[in-house]
Amino acid sequence: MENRERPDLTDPELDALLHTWKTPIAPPRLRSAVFPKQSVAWYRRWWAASVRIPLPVAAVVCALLLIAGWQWGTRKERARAESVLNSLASAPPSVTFQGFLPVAELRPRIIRSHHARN
Amino acid sequence: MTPEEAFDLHHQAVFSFVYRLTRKADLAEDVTQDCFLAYLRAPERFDAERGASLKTFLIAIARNLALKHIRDYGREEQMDETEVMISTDSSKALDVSTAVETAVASLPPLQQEALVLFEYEGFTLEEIAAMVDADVGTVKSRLHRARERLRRILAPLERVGDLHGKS
Repeated sequence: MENRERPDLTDPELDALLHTWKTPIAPPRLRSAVFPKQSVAWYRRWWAASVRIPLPVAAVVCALLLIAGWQWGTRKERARAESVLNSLASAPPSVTFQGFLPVAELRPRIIRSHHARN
Repeated sequence: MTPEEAFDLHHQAVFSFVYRLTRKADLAEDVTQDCFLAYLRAPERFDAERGASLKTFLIAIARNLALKHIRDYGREEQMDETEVMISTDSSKALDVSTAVETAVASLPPLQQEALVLFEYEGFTLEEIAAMVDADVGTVKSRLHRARERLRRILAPLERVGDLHGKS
């Protein structure tokens, strides 16, 4: 009833009212749905892979790796030195002077060149 | 123009168009996605030399997809003009945008489509006629009837707008 008494809207009034209706923004996931990432070879993915870890954890891991590397190096050096000492102590000498007699009489002989040809 | 540039330029228009026709954000999202995938599958179907813009082409695809969905799954009950109650009680903090949305939703589908394409998407009568496969006169008539109907339905809102200084 009340509507009938009210004058209808003019064109500008109607246009102004119509444009108060706003639509939602299209969700950003639409783009990835339309343009999915191309499939990448496993080795490229592996090469480009990254791991996110907290900095304190990374620092502790680095320190542990350094300590482990240093200990491995010193232990290897020590083991090599010990093995050399052990081999020197246990193995019999391969060259001995047992039964060696010095020369009793020296007889030097001069060989001339024409004799040497024969 | 690359497909990515076309997407960046027109995806919001396609989404808004379908949303205004269906008032369902998830459906608008699905139809927008299908619309661009259809374009990517056969970009040669868009022939710029035929005079139509890429936006017109994309909206036409979206319209067909939306109509197909409506055919397959049905449309929400159309409201009668008498059912569209616009409250003029300013103490209820009237949401003008929702009232306009409800009023547009009460229009018959063809009038609604013509109104959305003309008022919101900015197409000319000729472009709309080509898109919906109808005469320019028919589109003009649908648009006129839609506006007449909205004029009556939304009249109480203008009074509220006056009270609020047309904010």
